[in-house]
Amino acid sequence: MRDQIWDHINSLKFPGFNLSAELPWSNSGQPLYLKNLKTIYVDSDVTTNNTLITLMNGVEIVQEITSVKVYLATDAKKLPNIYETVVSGIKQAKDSAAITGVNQRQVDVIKTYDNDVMITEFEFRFTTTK
Amino acid sequence: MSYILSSPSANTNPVLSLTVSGATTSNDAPLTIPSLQDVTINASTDVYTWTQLDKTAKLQVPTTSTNSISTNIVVDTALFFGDSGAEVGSAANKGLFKLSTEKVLVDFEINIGDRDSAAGGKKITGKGYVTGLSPAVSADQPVWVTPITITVDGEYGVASY
Repeated sequence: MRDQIWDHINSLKFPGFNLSAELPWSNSGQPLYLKNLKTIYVDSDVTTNNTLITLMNGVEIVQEITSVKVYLATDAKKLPNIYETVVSGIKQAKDSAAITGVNQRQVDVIKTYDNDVMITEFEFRFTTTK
Repeated sequence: MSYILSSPSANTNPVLSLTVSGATTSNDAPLTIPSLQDVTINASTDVYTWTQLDKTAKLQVPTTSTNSISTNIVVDTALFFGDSGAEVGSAANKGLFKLSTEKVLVDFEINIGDRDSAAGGKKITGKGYVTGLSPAVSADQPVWVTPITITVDGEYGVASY
């Protein structure tokens, strides 16, 4: 899922914003997105399984939820003019046609502050049944 | 006392098997249903009740039974619509859908206990009709599931493996 989300964001080409190919962590443990403002980082997939139906022959039908987080840090005192456009564009990665075979698509947007930096965190969740 | 457990690893999980009643060797391929969510073997006996002036409680005697087997399964294509490669006219070839719509009398058996051990398991047998199919799917449960009722014609039998 990470590749599809990265490709979608890359196709949008937001002026003044960068899209990094790296994961959002550095060697020192401080997230890279705090060092590089207005640079979008896409994290790797995290997968969880929930049992949907259990059959008496031992077969389980499960729902697999694949989560991908995207991070964007901007100056908290003055937001970029196209900030809302960028957030809306990243959210639309949820509906990317390149992501197939899923039953549910969800995205949450959370904002936190670290000193004078506002961190916008997107969590994409895709559910498939197996 | 030895309890009857259900475990797929010990071959003690219930498996429902249907065969066209009166089938010959050319169409006796069974329809085997292992993907059961739950099973209930119903033996509901009617009761005749009356009162007598010399008794303080009602008197009851059992009369005839209404028997049925109820289960819920996950729908499988070959199970539901039949296996075209199976013997023509057999239960495996027809599938649950045709067994129900064509009202085919089937012989059924379902194990209680070990399917591989004469000492460990028994099977409930009988004749009946496949009824009560209502496959359903939803956005929250995107897997087709259907209840099945085997409406039993007559009495149950008990046999060993």
